[in-house]
Parts: sequence; C-alpha cells; structure tokens
Amino acid sequence: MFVRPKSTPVLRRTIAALAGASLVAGLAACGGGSSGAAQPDGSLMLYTWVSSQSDRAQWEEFVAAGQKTLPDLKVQIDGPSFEDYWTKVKTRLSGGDPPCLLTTQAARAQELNGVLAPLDDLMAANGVSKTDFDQSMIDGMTVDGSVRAIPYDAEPLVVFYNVDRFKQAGLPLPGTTFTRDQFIADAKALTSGDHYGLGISPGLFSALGYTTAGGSTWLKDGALDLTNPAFVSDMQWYFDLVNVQGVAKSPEASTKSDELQQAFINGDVAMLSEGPWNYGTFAESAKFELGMAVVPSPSGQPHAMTAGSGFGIASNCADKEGAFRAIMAMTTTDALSSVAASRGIVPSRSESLPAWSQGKTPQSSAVIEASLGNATAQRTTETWNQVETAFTQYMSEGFRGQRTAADILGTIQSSVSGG
Amino acid sequence: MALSAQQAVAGTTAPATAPGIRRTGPDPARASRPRRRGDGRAAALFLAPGLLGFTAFIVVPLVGSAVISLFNWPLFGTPEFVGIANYVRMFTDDPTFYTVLGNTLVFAVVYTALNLLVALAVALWLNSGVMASGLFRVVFFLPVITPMVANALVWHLMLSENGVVNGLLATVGITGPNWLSDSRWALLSVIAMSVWQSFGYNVIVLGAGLAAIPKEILEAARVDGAGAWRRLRNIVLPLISPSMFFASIMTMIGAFQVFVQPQVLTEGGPGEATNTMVLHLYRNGFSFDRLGYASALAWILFVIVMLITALQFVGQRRWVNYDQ
Repeated sequence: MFVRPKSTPVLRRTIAALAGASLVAGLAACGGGSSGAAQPDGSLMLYTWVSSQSDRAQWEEFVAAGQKTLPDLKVQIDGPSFEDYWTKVKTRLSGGDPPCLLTTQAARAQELNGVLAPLDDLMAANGVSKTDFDQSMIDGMTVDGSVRAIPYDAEPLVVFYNVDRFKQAGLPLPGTTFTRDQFIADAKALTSGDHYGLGISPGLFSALGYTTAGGSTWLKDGALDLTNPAFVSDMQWYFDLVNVQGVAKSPEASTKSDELQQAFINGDVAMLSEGPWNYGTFAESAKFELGMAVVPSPSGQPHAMTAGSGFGIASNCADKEGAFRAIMAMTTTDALSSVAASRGIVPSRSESLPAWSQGKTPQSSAVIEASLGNATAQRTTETWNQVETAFTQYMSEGFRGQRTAADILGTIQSSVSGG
Repeated sequence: MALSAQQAVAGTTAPATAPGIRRTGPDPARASRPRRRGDGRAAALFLAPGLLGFTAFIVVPLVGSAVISLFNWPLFGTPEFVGIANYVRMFTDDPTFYTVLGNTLVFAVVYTALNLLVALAVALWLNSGVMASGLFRVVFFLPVITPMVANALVWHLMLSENGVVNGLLATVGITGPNWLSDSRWALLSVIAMSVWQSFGYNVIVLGAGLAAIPKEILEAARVDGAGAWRRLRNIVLPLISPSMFFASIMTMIGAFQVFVQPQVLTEGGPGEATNTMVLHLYRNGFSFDRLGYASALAWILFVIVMLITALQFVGQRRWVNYDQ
C-alpha cells in the first residue's frame, strides 16, 4: 500500500508561518499608507498625468510661473499616463512616500472624493476667494459642499469648423450664437458622399456639451438622473444627428477621438465639437481657415459646458499649508496668464483671459467669452466611470436607431444604481 | 495554549515521528529502513524553492483575494467587512453579471470548437507531405507571438465600416454589416479574431501528436483498404486524442480568461454584446474602484473554470486513448 509521507511539525509550522506572514504583508500593503510630507530636499511632489513630454513641459511651466511669487518653490513632477492616472493616484497614496500635490479634472473630482482634502479652511486662512475663479469650475471642483481643487483652466466646449467649406457652400459663419436648426441645416448642406457635416466623438463628453446647451442636466440633487424627460429628449436629438439627420457617422466604441480630430484636419468632417485646448493643434495642422462657434442651442444663445482641471492636496498630506502655498503661487493671475500664453489653456481667472487671446482670431476670443458668460461645469457622480463606460458600450445602438435614448439611458441608470 | 496547540499538531502526525515515542527503544520497522527519514528531508529541501514560489505567488494571492472578496475594498481608503454581500449582489443585483457569464460561455465553447477544428485541419494538411510545411508552421504560429493589442488593432481596421472586409464584400455586390457595432456580429467578430490569433499554437501541439503516429499502423490500414476518411476517424483521431485533450483543456481555460480582444476591438459593446467575465471583473476592480466585488467575480470565474476542467477530465475516459 502507498503511504503518504507526512511532513514534520517543524516544516509545517514553518510553511504556515511563511504563508501567514506573507499574507499579512500582502494585505497590509493594500491598506492606507503613511502621511505624505515634503521630500528630503524640501521639495513637494506633484503627482499628475504625464502622458507625454508636452504634459511634463506644461507642469514645469506651472512650477516656473509659481517660482516668480515663491522663489524657493521646488516641485518634483511624477505620474502615469492620463488614462492610468485615476487608478494609480489611489494606489500611489496608499503606498509609502505619498505625494502631497495632486491634479484632478472637475469631471473626476467626485470620483476622487476621499483622496482630495477639502480646501475651504485653507482658502479662508489665505484670503483666496471662490469668486477669484470661474464660477462653473469652482462648482465642478466642489464635492460634498467643499472645494477640493483650485482650477487652473476653464475650457468651454465649442464647435470648431472649416471656414473654407462653409464659404464654398455659401453658408453664413456661426459665432457667438448658433441655433440647433441652423446647425442641422448647415451640417446637411456640408454632407455629401464621404464628407460629413459633423464629426461625433465616442463617449459622453461631447454628448453632454450638446445636452447642456439644450438646457437639460443629468443630475438631480447631486445624484444620477439620466432618465429625466428633458435629458432623454436632448440625448435623442443627439442620436438623431446620425440616424435621422444623417449628418455624421456613428462612432464605434473603440474609435479614438484622435481619429476624428485627424478627419477634421483632413477636411473630411466640417464641424467638430471639442475643447478649446485643441485650438493650437488645429490651427497649426489644418490647411483651411479655422472657425469657432458656441455649441448650438434651441434659442441660439450659448450655454456652455466647461471642462477643466485644477490642483488639489492629498487627504493624507502632512504639510497641507505648504502645499496650498505652492498651489496659490501656481495659480496667480500672472502664472495663469503665462501658461495660457505658452500652452493655450483657457485660464480659470478671467483677468488672465487676454493672454489666451494672443495670436488667435477675435471671433474665437468672443466665442470663449460668450461661452464662459453662461457656463455649467461637467459635474459628475462617484459612479461616473461606470456611466461613461456603459455609454461608450451602448451609444452605437442609439446612433443607429436600434434603441431609443430613453431605453439606453434607462438601462445605464438601472445598471449603475443596481450593480 | 501553546502546549495544547503543539499537542494538536503532534496528534495529526504519524506516531512514529512524534518526539515522545521516538525515545522508547528500537523500532523494528525503523531499523530495517534507516534511510527513510533522510530522504524526506532532502525531498523537502528540493521542494522548498518551488513550494515557496507556489506559496508566495499562488496560495497567498488566492487566499488574499478570497479575503478581499468579503470586503468593500476601495483602492484608497478603509476596507469595510460585508460578509458574502458581494456574492449576493452578483447573483441578485448585478444585471450585467448573467449577460457577461452567457457571453463568456458562448465565447469559450464556440472559440474552442472552431480553434480545434481549424488547428486539426491545418495540422493534417501540414502533415500530408506538403512542401515547405516548416515555413507554414512558422507563419501560422506568428500571430501567437505577436502582441494581442497589435493584432486587435489590425482587425479593428479590417472590420470597421469601411474596412478591408466590407471592401472585399462590396466587390462581389454584398453590403457587409458593421461587424463591430452590430450586436449580431460583434461577438462573432471577436471570436474570429481570437481563433485566427491562437490556432497556430494548437497546430504545433496536434502536429506533434500526428508526427508521433507510427507509420506502420497507417501503412497497414492502407493495405487493408481503409480510405482516407476511415484512417482519420478510426486511427489518426484516436491516436492523437491525448494531444486533442490537452489542446481542448488549455484552449478552454484560455477562453474563459478572454480580455484583450473585446477590450481593444469593441470595449465590450455594442451594449453588452461582447462584455466578458474578465473585462467586467477588470473594470469593477480598476475603473469602478470595487476591489471586493472584482475579487468575488474572480472567485466565481475560478470555480466555473475548475468545474468545467474537472468535467473535461471526467469526460476524457470516453474518448481519450492512451494505448499506442
């Protein structure tokens, strides 16, 4: 008979101890980390998205601009790509040597609730007022009633268009006013064969720009409310641009927004809704005259959705006062003017706006000012990532007319609330 | 307490190795086999590196994820113990769960069947004395070693609305569907891409099985008047059944873990048409910040894969032939 060899007690206990110790070590590594502090050389760590050399250059410019008011400001810049940032920022704060300075988009501020410290007391103590900054962005950065980040830009979604194509078709050029009827008529006139009047990006961002202009919202008292009739009707109007009006191609879930921007630059689509941060790229690469208009609304008067980002402080930062001084230095009027002029961000302080307008057409400056005159930030919920993911999955069925907006939004609302 | 714990441990081991009994005079069995204890120590020593690796990289993460699955565990913040609430929610309150489970099962079954069929056909063809069979083997294996993301991107271009596939169909007057955005075709497109990507591996496995078939047996069958189909059905297939079994197990396990193809080709859409267990799990863990729920999903997937593999092992007695 085969006898199973038995391990000695010593061996067993050693194995059990090893397993137990590594389990505890593994789990402990996942728990909360120690509190953040300044680096050994006295510099602060800024953890942010660094997708490219251009991103790094932008952050370095913020630091250089901040050093003009705070000469001993030293900031180390570290971070993953934009896509990875939202996950990694949380694990980075859980690990050893967590950073003090963070960045967030207004649209992701809710998701980082718990990661970002409330700044209201620091703002009051240092004489920083909410009214110094674009109101919509301060709203966007407010989570549970407290401001979590000082916005550095306030970028209203706009419609870029190909002036040459408009002129060839004999259409009047839109600007600070744009009705939906005019928009659809223009887009139809500019659609023929492989050329479309409009480019539609995948995902929710540009969709919400159009629904905001329509006057509807996807939140009720801060909670997700995708199924309210006004929002459903605006979303159906947006889906119908492809299915009923035939002025745009349905985006696929895996279509990248770069592809669409390239199609616009190539002249394959005549209009594209995008953030004004693309102005520089479009003006430089396009072979045609670049136009800019507000996002169309039923009345024609602008109601813009702003997107933008800001600097925040990690909730486990030990020296919040020091971190806030750094943020103040990097977001002065002069600092924002300097970065607006060099990097093309639309600054969150209206006094810095003239710096953005340098080298751009008077019409585009007027469109930005008109848009910011009536703007709402892209406010979200803590579960927004689920909403965004589900919308990307379902949208092509909406654009193809296989399902209605009411149906799709109902599904998303129930799956996010339930699952 | 320490003493009773020690007693408990001692009690579970063989009396012959318990310290108290060792000193009670010569043990006849032990005297006749004096080298047995030394072998055990040496074996333990040789096993130690593997055991340590297995413990650190398999057992600990496995136990860790089982523990995490009982918590609401955010990436940053304090975990909260919720018992089996994550499992309850999966089966009663997550409308996506049954859809992704169904998609994964359909994917696994269709993909494995197609993969084995194509691989068997190609392996038989390469084994039939075709010229440059080595070169073809390399060509068919190339997609296996090419990064999946690159493969998926190429297929994305081919299958898009104005892609190569619809361009070819248009030349014969067929208006092709939108392969990736039409819920009737999306999963099939993902399966087609996955089969193309991975059947080369099974060609190698089945090719080795075919090469091992003794020529004499096939010769004898031919002399006895067995046709090609008869030889395939009654001689070749039974003789390569161990290779087929290995290939089907490995392919099926891989199929349940499908992730990159839907992620890059369709992002799980349109709707939930191509959403799979691992994609759902990944998103819950790393996009929706629910590590506990993701761990619970991982455990259910683990149990399903284990059950199906066990079923395959039970079923093999009927069709796998180990006699040469």
